[in-house]
Amino acid sequence: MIGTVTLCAAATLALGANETLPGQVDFGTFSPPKGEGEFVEVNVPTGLITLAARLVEKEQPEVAKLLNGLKLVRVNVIGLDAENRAALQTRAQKIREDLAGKGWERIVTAQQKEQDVSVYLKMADKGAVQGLAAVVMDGKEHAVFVNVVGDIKPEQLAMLGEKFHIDPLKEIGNTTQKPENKSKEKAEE
Amino acid sequence: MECVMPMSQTGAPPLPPRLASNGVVPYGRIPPATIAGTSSRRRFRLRAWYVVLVLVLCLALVCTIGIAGYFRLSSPTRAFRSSVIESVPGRWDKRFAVNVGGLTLGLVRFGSRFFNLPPEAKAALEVLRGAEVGVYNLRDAPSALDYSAMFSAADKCMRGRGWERIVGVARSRQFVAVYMPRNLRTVKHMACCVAVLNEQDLVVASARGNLQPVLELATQHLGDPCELSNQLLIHLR
Repeated sequence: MIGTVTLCAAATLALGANETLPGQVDFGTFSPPKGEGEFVEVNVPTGLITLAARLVEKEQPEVAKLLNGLKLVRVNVIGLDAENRAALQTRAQKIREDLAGKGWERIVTAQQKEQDVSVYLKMADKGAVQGLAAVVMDGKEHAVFVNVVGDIKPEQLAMLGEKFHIDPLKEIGNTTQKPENKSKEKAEE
Repeated sequence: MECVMPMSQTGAPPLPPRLASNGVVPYGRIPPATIAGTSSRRRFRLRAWYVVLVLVLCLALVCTIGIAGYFRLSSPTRAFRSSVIESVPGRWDKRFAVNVGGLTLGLVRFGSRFFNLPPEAKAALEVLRGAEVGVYNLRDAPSALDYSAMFSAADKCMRGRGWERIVGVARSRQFVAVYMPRNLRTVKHMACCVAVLNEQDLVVASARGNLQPVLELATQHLGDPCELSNQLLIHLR
């Protein structure tokens, strides 16, 4: 009896461990490039996000509120070289198609020079944001994959990147800022 | 007037001396019971000495193990270090390893109560429950490192122990991997394991702590976590 209960509990835990959250994207695993290329992987779990929220809740309640609404932050930056460029471009394209097929809404498309930025939002039925995904092919240098699970708006990405010191998030956040906001900021300056 | 029966050291009443058949002790001979009493006392003294000797030896052994423990990484950190080292071809030399456990830090915390330390320094002491650092040097390093193999080996080792990688960086002969326990639910039991390879120097570090005092300090005095960490670093230096 005890053994059966233990087995059931273990099976439930195992299922729970593999279960993806709403708004979570499985980008798969990435390998570092073999040469001198850059590779950065950041995976901030709920516990750390909660901790960060508690650290700033008194002085920066807005940031704390944003952080409290998040469950997971994952960022992958992979340097492109001759060996992995084609594979990563294909993979980025496949991820974009998968996201579109699974009901993610493409909210930002920015293509300039050799940079290709796509930002997607996953909305719940009631209109709440469940997650954000970004796929960036930065010219011939980097491929960036971002997934933030939880209630977040694209314009909050830069703030999140600043709090966790994740530069790619800051860059994507700046890219996704609305043109009118940018013009306002310039006017204020 | 009370009549008190003489008691032996063990608390039992002494046995009556064994007499000759007629009940008279022959003149000039020590009664056998007296000889038996002296030898048992000697035996007892010998046993006491043995016990003291064994205790001293045990104490020395415990002290030796304790002191050696300061220069030996804990089992999970050793496994983590081995997973990284074994995935890099070349010869590794140990420079040093230091392991300060909860007992030592507890003593330091207790001692710090008698000194007037600034709150940040006290918080720093309150935070740490154990810390260990190992520094290694890679000789005959290969021209290119297989970071993928390094991450895979470290991930496999740590995942089996319930840790997950939260940061992984590899760029131009630099490798960083940071792990934290998967079921991180409370700030009272934080733990972190880090490996940093820079050119040929590998640093493996691990720390356990209770972040509650830091959070309290942060909410009381300091607003910016960066400022808080800077203050802590200044005091730690």
